[in-house]
Amino acid sequence: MADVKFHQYWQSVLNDVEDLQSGRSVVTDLPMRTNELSNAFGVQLRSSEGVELFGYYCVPKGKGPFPGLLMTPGYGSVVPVPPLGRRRKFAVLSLCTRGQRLSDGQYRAAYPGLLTDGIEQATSYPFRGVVADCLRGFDFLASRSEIDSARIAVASGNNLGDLAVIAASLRPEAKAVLVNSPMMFRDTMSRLDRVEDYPMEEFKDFLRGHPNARSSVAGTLALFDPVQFAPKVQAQAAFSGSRSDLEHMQPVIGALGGAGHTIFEKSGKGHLDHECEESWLSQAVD
Amino acid sequence: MTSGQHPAAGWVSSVRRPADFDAFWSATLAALDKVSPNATFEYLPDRSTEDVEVYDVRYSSYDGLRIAAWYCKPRGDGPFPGLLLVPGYVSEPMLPKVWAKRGYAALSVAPRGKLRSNAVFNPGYPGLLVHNVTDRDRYGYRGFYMDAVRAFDVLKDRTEVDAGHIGVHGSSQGGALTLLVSSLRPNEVTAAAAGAPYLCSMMDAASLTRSYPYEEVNDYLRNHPDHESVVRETLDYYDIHNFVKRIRAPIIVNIGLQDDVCPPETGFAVFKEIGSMQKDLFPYDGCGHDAGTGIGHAKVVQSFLAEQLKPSPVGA
Repeated sequence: MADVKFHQYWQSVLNDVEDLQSGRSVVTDLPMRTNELSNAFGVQLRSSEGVELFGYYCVPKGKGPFPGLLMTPGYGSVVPVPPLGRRRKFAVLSLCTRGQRLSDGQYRAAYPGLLTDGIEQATSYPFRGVVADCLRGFDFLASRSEIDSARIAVASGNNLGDLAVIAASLRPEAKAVLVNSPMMFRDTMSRLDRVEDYPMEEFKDFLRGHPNARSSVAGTLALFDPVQFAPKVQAQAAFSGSRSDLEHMQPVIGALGGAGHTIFEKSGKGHLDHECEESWLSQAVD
Repeated sequence: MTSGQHPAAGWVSSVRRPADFDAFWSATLAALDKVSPNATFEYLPDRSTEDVEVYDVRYSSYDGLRIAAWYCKPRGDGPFPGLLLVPGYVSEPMLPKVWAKRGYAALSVAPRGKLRSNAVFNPGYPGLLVHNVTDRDRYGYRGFYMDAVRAFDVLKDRTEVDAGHIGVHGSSQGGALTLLVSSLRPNEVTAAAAGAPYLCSMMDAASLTRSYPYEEVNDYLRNHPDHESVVRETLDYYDIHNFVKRIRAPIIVNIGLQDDVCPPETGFAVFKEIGSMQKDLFPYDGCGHDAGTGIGHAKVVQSFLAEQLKPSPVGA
């Protein structure tokens, strides 16, 4: 029964996004962010429920086609301009999903707050729309003539490795997916007693104020658990995290249906760890 | 190679100290003093726990803007050591509940432009670093800096806070603000821990890295090449390098030797300038902007602050 609910929920998201395929995207020059290596553009997309999105889109100078890269958002209001290292190689979209700055005309997310806003109703939980936004971003990249649509990667943002797995599962044509820990939707309810800091503390705050909502919250969160998405991931995958984070993600890794995976156990030295991840990402689309 | 032998350790900043630097900031602080804080503390029962009380804080700052903060304290009357937490460039300040459990009355401020304080001032990210950058009087960081100083004052004025034991801590922009508040409140800050400090040797940093936020300066100058001298003049007034000789509190600073966001050269240089007699630098090889937090520096900070501020952890 849970599988049926999961399938129906996400099929409705796919249907919503499918209905938007003929929707226009507006691409405008961003001369302030254009540099000697790549041209910068602002992209406007309409997503599900009529939400208007903005993204930074940077394309290397020179002759394409280029590999594409979708940067799924982290948990926070600010979405970065794509970093130079990625701009050298990829036509890269850094997408502001609904509620984040520059995509907050209709819905303004709070931090803390977004994680539990509307969480008792799965159909209105904002992360349903956030996933739809990511799929719109992927489809935008796939539609671009300067991008080799067979070489599109997905890379996760801070604290939300989940979104990259979900996007790669619902868009199995993705060639590579880089997943950075931690994940917020993996086995969330059973972990709450062991977490004590934000953003995970948001769930505890909500349940403290809504003690009768535990069942409905659990039901919504179960729909987003990346372990349920993993079997349909076809991309090469890399998971990067501390030892404990990797243990937490292990059921996801074990359920992957894709073209193999790589695990980076972080040393804790950010520069060295970052270089490993970026090197992998660059090679994974070649 | 030890940190002292690292090539970045011998680098020399090109930042200049304007002749009227002190006068400019005295006038700015005087303007802040004319604004009554009118601080409000709203208790949030759903965010509070059996050990920690949580408050939504609002206060008035420079130019009369209302600024938001989160305040978390152990239950009880205190006195508790105070801890001001100052945010990074893009992050939204979270509730410092963990610090309250460690025994601190902790205030986490959202200076103007952050989501909860951007009704009037909202330059965006990217945007803040170059907002009105050709006008030293209207530059965005003028009020932003004052918001951090006023946050310290609001915390200090709490009756349950031990005014003789107040620390400041943050990383990146939070590292810069830690140095700033410690400089402008030299006799009141008791201890400071600054990570990967931003806003130090700013014009140099923009040429040492191609990462945001400093890339905002490069973007701006690429589009306004004739503004370089006036941008430099403005930034000299705001460069943290020019403040830190005033610091008197015990302080620790950590930097990443491969930091491509806040170049280590600028971290070494500002550390040398710090006036405190008790200062320690923690340079971490192999680290970028994380500056060692993933290999134990977070514990170093906790131990240092505990030693200086003497909190009593909740439940201990």
